[in-house]
Amino acid sequence: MIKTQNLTKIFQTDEIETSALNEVNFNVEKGEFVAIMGPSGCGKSTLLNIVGLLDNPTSGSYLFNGVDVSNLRESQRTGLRKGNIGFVFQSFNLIDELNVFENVEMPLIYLKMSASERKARVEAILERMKISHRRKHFPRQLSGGQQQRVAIARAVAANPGLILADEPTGNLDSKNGLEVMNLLTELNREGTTIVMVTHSLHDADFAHRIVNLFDGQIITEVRKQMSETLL
Amino acid sequence: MFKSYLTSTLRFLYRNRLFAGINILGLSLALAVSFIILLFVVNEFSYNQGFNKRKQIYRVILSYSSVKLTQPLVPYVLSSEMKSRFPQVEYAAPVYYVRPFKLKKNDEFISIRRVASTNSAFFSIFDIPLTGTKKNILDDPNSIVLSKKQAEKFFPDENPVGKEIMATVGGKEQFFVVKGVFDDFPANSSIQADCFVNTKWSLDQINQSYNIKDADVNWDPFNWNIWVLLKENTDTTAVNEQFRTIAAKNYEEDTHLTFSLQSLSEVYFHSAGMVNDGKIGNMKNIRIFSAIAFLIILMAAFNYIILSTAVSSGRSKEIAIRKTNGASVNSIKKQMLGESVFLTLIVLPIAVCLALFIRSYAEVLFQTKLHIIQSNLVSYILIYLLLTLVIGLFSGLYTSTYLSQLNVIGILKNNTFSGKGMPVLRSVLITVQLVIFCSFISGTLIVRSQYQYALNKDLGYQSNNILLVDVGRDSKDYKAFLNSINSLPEVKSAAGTMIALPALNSQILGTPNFQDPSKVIKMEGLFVDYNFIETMGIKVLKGRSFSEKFRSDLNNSALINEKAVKELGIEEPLGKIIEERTIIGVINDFNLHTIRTDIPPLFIIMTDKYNVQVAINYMPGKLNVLLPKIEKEWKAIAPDRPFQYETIEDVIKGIYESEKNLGVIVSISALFSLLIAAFGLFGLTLFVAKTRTKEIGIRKVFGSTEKSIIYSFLKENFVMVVVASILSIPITYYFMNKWLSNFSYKVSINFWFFAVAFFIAMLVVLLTVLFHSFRASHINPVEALRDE
Repeated sequence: MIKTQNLTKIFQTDEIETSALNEVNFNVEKGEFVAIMGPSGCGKSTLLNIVGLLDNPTSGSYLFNGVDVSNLRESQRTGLRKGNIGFVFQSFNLIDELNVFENVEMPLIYLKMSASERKARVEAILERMKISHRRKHFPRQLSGGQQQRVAIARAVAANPGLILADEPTGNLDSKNGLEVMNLLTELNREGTTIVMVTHSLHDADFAHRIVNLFDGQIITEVRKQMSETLL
Repeated sequence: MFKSYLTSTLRFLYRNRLFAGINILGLSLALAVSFIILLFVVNEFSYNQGFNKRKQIYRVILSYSSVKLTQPLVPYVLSSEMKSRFPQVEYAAPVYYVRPFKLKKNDEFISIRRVASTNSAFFSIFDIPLTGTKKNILDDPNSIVLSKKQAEKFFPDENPVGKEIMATVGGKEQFFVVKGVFDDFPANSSIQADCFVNTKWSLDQINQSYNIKDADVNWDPFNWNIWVLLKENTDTTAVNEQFRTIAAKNYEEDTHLTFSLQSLSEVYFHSAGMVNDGKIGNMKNIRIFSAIAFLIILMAAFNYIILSTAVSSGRSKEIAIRKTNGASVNSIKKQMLGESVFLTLIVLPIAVCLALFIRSYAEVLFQTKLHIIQSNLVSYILIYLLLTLVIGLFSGLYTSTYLSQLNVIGILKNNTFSGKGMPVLRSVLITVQLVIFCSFISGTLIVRSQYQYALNKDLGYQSNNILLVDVGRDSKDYKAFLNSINSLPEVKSAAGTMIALPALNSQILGTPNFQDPSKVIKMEGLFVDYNFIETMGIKVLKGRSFSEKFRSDLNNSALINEKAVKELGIEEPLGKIIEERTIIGVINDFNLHTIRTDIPPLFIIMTDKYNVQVAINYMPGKLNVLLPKIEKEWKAIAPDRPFQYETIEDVIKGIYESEKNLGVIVSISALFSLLIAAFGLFGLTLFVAKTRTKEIGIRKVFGSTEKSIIYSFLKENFVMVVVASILSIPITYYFMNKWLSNFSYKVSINFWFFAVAFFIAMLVVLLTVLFHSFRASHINPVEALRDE
């Protein structure tokens, strides 16, 4: 599903050039659950942003579902992202002016789905996330765990093939964090590919494969059951 | 999707009530002001557009090329000449306003102000709705056609057509028969009348005034407006050619007199300098007011941009999330633009209500009624809606373009957005607002200074303690009145004149230069009685004034002023002959009209028939005692005529009413611009204080004093005021210089005008910013850092 080759990302300001990713070869098969780990500043989020078509690499190639998406314009990336990729963030990133129902509904609006279809889909998802009793509430009226469940609901509302989670339990306590990881695992079992950035070994343990990054390069990859170290 | 945007917009506005409120207030004020101005402008441009055949309607005007004078008053006989000899003319109607004219109601005679004497053809030219048979409606000398308003006044609840009504005209009682009732002329029409009567009544009046019997065929009295309806697609150059033939046949070549046609559409805006019975428009005023409206709207739009971009950090997260979830740049742009338009549409009804509320005050400022004219309703609605939408789009354009192109990644990671380049843009916009404000302030000071100068300038004659009484055309009343008041102890002297000073118009004559007779000098003439020169405090520099010791002065003598001596090239004026009169004296130059015009060469002769006004020079401080005495004398002489008077101070103030009002309008514009700029600055400073909470907390932890925190807020704004004040100087100078060029006598533009504007702007900005900066400086650093 995801295949990068010699992926490089350099950030340039007036005086400083920072190499965030350095010729990274990163592959993810359909239905995999991959965790990306590494110290702060190693390039995890940069890799996730490129994979999620939020950014373009400086050089190298990126094939998404077999299509080279390395140098697309923003409008093209938006078009491709819509309905294919869902995002879950550490700080939830719900829209404060919209209630739970409206937040989850939002991606479906951009897919130009009819109102009745959107209603049906959102209600089903809210029911599944066990948050439907809070449909009219606003984010500030929800706990952290509830907000993240809404964020996950939004991420899966359009039935994307891929979910990208950037430290999804970072702002949660252990109980809520576990709940979120169970949800992600359940989604993965149903066929959704998941790529997750995390600092937590506990969370990484839910994944099929752990990729370790350091200074913009993949250092190790560990498959959960095979325990094979690849260089 | 629209519902989602609308929901999001309304909730965002509610969450940011203060900013929304400031924006709404600023926009509604600005829109209300611009609506009032647009009401004025639309009404002005709609003048005379209500007549169906307006493209074929013309009036005849007369030009004297030798003295560059044009007037719409022509001989009566021209209308019959045109009807009979000009194949292009379908109808021709001479119009003259008969005064005085009264109609009887119960036992009382009520003055009717606008009584137009004309013929039946008038109603074929101007298609106003009319009950009664249009054809021949005024053929009968005793016909009268009333306006609806007059009909309701004199014949309440009944149909007046066919009924008789008593009138007084020319001092005599006369029965008239009502032949029709016409719909009142709309406010935006150059033609206005309360009723119409047959041409006989104007001819009688002119015959009597000029002591002739043939006003209907005489080419000399120039007293009528002649309106014609030309056939469709007429070439007016052929008509002008025919005019030349008529002028050549009936006037001496050296009169340099030309008739021509002026279309109805040109009458309102292109009749400046002519003697007009109706109002005329002033394109200059329209431009000034439109410019003021534009500037105020611009400031409000800038405020919107400043505040909404400041608050955009709250929107950046939402936009980044929307983009992550599939929103394209265009859909974000549409959302932001839609929000901006929505806000302005919320403001629209508030602005309309505000505009209606301030309409009556604006009427005083504009010196005109601001009618809501039915035929213009669609124009008003469309223009207001369009203006509102344009403002919404303009205001939202920058914000939507900027926000729609936000980089998603940084925002989602950091959850904050500072907006590279935003502070610079905001400073630029605030500075532009301050430039506009400073320009209004210095402009106001200059206009007011010019107004005071106009009121206080030495005009060359006595401009205080003079009372001007209107005695009308009856010379019998005048003589009796003059004799009675001259004996009053409070009266120093009194004398009559055809036109009192300052003169709003005068007689014009052309006189050959003495050195070069081919050069014709345009002189202005005054008709006065004995003692007028002395009463007005005008000095005789050479020779003598008119004197009762010399009875021949009445028909044979003249006075000229210094300017006339110079322009006519006379070396020794005393004894010279001008217009068959001997120059007996030279008087000092004085401002005949206003300080807008130069002092003209003046030619003053005597009259015993046309002393329409009496100038009374009275003892200072005695007006309250004198006035009732004069009124008593007047009532004894002319009991059925009103006692009408004005002090010369009031006349002078009245002449410069437009300058006074312009000063007020510019002051109010300055006030509005101040309010709008202050609103924006207030809201922005509040926002900046909030965003700087962490920074201030850290600074205080590391030893910063409250004073230095306040100073950091004020410093930036101080720089903006200085820059704005400097930038406003050339702008104000250019426009005010242009305005002052309308005056022959004017103040000079001094530096202190701009200095005062600077200080006022500085004071306002400091007061606006001080409140928040003071509060910010007192932040508890523990609280500030805990929030972060």
